[in-house]
Amino acid sequence: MSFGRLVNRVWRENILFSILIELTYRCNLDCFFCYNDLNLQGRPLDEQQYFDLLDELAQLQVLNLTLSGGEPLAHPSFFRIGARARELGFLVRVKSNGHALGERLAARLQREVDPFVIDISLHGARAQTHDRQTRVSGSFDRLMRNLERMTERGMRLKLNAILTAWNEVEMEEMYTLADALNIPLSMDPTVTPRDDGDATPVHIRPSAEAVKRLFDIRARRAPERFRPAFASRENAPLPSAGTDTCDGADGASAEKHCGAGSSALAIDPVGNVYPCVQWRRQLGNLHRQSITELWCSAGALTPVRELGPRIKHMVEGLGEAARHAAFCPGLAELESGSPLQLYPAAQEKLDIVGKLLKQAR
Amino acid sequence: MDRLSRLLHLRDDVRHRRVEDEGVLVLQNEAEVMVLNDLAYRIIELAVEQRTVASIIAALEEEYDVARDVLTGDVMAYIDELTNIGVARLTDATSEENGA
Repeated sequence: MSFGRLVNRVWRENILFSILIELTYRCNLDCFFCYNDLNLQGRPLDEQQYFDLLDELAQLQVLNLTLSGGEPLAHPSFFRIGARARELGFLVRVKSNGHALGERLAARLQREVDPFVIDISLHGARAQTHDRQTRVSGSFDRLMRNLERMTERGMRLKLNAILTAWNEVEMEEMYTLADALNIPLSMDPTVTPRDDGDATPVHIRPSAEAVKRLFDIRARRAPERFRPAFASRENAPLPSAGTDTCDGADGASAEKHCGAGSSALAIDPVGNVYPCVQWRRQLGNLHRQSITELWCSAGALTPVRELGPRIKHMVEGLGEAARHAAFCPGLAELESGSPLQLYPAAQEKLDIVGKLLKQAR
Repeated sequence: MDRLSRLLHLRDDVRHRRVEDEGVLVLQNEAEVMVLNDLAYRIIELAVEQRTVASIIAALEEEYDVARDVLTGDVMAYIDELTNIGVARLTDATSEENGA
């Protein structure tokens, strides 16, 4: 069986496979478009609760575990939690801004947690732009030093960038920079409102022209992505928690649009549980119920799971371009109140991808 | 030394998980993933318990209704496959006990 088919199976049979844990919203940067709800109320989970959670997740057969934030390294128990996750056999992904990952901490991360990959945020190709977005002077230069050291150590890294109105003129340079560092770069054209609904970040959404340029670059760099047929999913890149809700199954045969609530969950620092990091519909809280109780009971997850095929049907009705346009039901619900509603950013991507597909034929 | 008395070890960067009646094996360094059938994944689970090849075969014989010689042949062939692709290695059990 291919991995894509296995992912199909975990979606179909509601097998929890991927989990994203936001350990803390504390951060050593102050990014303008940060989506975290910094006014989140509630009692943070303590270290023992995280250990118990990891034990349960291993029992539930979860493989993908993402430690996120805020800046996850800012959590006082980060290394103990990460080491425990490694001991329990999780495939650990760490989402970090890289600011603290100097020689000492990077070595410790590699030695004690050995993540499958460290996802690091890049905000621009030049210090002025990067620092403008992070609102911390010197953060770009420091990141470049840290990336070079981590690369020298052989650590598995990936750069993530959000395309914004501030960095769109440096898009090509950002790819060049990533290539020079020999680190893959993933650029996302979607600037989302904050999780509390605050729309301030969307003021720096990229222009439509920049989004088109991004898709052009992607098509040049991975032309098969825009051909009508999917390549074989054998040996597909391993999805991570949170992102395998967006990609990973065999799109042609999957019964659901994504794995949100069917194979994946996200947990915030005070124990609220969501279908996905992007879909902030609260399903329960770990102070009141265990993850096993939540996952195995018919309660709040049922409506989310039932939406999966309906969303897939809706997206398929939009044509082939929709398969590449990454419609997100969580973002749809945040922007329109319905996970079935096409939101402006998705419509824009749909139009651009549709044109690219026509060109590719 | 007889291969049956050697210990089977997974490479340090390998991660794995059972998913119902299958298993997933991830080679972190190569960013590759393998999906294993039940018997293959059971061998991985037993390897993690620091067992010798003979002990792995004995455990499987208890769990599966297969003739011992057939099972031994299948398990040895699979272990060869794992070691050939560098996912696992066989070590001398005595030297392990001595901390070598």
